[in-house]
Amino acid sequence: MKLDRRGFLKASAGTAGVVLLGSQGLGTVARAASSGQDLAMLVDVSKCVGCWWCYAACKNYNSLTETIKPDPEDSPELSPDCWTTLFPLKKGDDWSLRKQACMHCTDAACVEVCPTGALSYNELGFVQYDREKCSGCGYCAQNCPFGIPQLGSNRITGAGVMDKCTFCIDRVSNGQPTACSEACTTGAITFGQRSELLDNAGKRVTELEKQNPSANLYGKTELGGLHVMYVLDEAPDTYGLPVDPQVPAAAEVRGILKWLGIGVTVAAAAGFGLNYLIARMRIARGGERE
Amino acid sequence: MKRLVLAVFGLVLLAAFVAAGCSVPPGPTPGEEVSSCVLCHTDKDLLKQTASVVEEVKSEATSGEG
Amino acid sequence: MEVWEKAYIKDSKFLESSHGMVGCVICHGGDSSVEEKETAHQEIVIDPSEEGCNTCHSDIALLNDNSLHTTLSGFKSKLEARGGDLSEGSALDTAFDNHCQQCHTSCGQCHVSRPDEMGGGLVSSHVFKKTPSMQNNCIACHGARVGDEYLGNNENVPGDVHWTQAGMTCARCHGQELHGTGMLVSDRYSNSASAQCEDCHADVWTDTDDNPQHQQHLGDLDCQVCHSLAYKNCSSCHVALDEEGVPCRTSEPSQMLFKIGLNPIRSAERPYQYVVLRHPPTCAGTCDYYGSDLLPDFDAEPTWKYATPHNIQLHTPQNESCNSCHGNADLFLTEDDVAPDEIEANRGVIVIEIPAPE
Repeated sequence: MKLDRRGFLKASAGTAGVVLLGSQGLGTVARAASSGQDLAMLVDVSKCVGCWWCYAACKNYNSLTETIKPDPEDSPELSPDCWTTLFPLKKGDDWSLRKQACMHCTDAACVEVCPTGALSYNELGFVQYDREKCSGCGYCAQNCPFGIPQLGSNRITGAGVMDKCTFCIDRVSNGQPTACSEACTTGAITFGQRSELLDNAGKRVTELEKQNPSANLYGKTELGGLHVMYVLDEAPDTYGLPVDPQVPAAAEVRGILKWLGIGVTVAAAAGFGLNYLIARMRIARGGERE
Repeated sequence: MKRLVLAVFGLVLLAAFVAAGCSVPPGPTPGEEVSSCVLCHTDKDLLKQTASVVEEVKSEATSGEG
Repeated sequence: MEVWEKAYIKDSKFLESSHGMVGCVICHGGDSSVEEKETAHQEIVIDPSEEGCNTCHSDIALLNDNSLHTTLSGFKSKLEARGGDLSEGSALDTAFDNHCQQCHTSCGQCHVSRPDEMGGGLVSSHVFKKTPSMQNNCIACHGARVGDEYLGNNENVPGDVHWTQAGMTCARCHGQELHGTGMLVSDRYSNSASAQCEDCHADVWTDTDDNPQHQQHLGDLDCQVCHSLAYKNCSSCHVALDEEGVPCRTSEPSQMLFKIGLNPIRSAERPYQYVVLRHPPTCAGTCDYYGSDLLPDFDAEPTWKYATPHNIQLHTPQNESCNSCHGNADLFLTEDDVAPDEIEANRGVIVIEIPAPE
């Protein structure tokens, strides 16, 4: 087989190109999850009284370390041991609280960048993860626009895996609502079909706007549509939410780079293999000539 | 000899690190009842065992009706 | 109730309820990951309802914060009316904390457990009861007077017909009123929402054609004057701390009496001239252990109080005929019925001229 340098380069470029296109195709399939049949939660901040039962229910159901009812002054941070909390906003003497946890984005940066495929999209619309596959690299935490994934850390080695809200995958797959939405005492957290929740949210925002022009709906289209949406009574950034969040460019690039890297490695291995074969052939031929 | 010892030591150290790294705490198991509160407070026998004898703080000197 | 029984959750009903599905720690604190009792109970909050119910049940909490059961303002108002100084740290305040304060109940002590005063303990495996248990909650504290009268536990005196014939529990008449109206009141009769006979028996005002006695006396006499029987009266309660510093009290044995006197709290709602009066245990020297003359104006309030004994009957000795009451001096609170040192206090209620026989 005669293969000169130019031929070799053409072949590897071709392979890489095919692989890249393939990966884009996969991405498109994954993002089609937001079809209207998917499940979601709606958090109406105006109805939250700060009872912390969503927090308690999550802790209890997931066997995390339970604590006594926190003080908004000292609101717990998200951690591998705390998958939902309340973001506190001081309003005069009182507090306005926003339930904070994984937004379960349709275009999730964490899924895009996860090198092991531990994070993935569930057909019901939310972002699930497999702890066994997590390598603890931390890319998800670095790229999430909301800062949700939390990594544990072994004291000696620093190794750890990521934890976050699972959308109560076991309950939800059995037709039950999420633990937090079931526990919510005021109906601030509702659970159901995303399209239905969007309808309700729209009506609620219209109602609130009469008294409060700042009322808005967050999560309808952001990042392809979030599966945890908010009816807010203040601008999103007041509640610690990024306005117009995007999947970080680095994540997009990383998505490409990942396959490019695989492609290059495969090409290099192929190159070595070919080189070995050609060299052997040439040595044999050289020997024949003599 | 020295190199061998160093090599073995290095391998042991490496193994230790790997073991420590592999021992990531197991994930929480959703839905399982592991709250010790409930396990104890729903167990009659356990409660009887661990009940502390509370001294009734009613004074001897009290008489008459409440 | 055994000590262990007080904390025993017998079935899972509570754990599946809206209050129980969020774990124990969120309200009670402590550590749910360890099995060793002392460690698990570190920083535990036994009764989270002192603070904890307000967040979700804000409308009730707003009312209840000023209720009589919470503030004990009924006791306080009487002590203050008698010149008592209840400012923080005063002798009377100390006495109040040691003795009277025990009657304070939190939300949980009616709706989840028995009152602290009775030693606490879960009533219904921690299930939150909208209607407290008559036996375990109401009668636990209100047993000696109301409880015994109502159930017929007093010798020779039958129980209230609402119980013996209709089987009505406390909550049938005394519902939401117990949460108060949100305003501090000086006693239970000031609560505009309190139970009235007319709530169910409004027809007494319209059936007077068949009932000449009603025709004659409605509005003039409290219902209990004709329809109630003898009830417990106490006296000479003295509170103190014993040798070990434990609060204690002594009182004279109670007496079963029936006394009609003048209405000390006449108002638009209670226009009656004659009402039934009961003597509660208080006496001028009740708090003497804590200081002398702590109630300098003791006579400002009568010691024979407006009463509504819970032993209602249709037919009573005094309503048999006109003359079973009229001219019957024994039924009325006259000067010789009142202890000499209390006569001044009771001037307003002592009956001077008994209604003459017909």
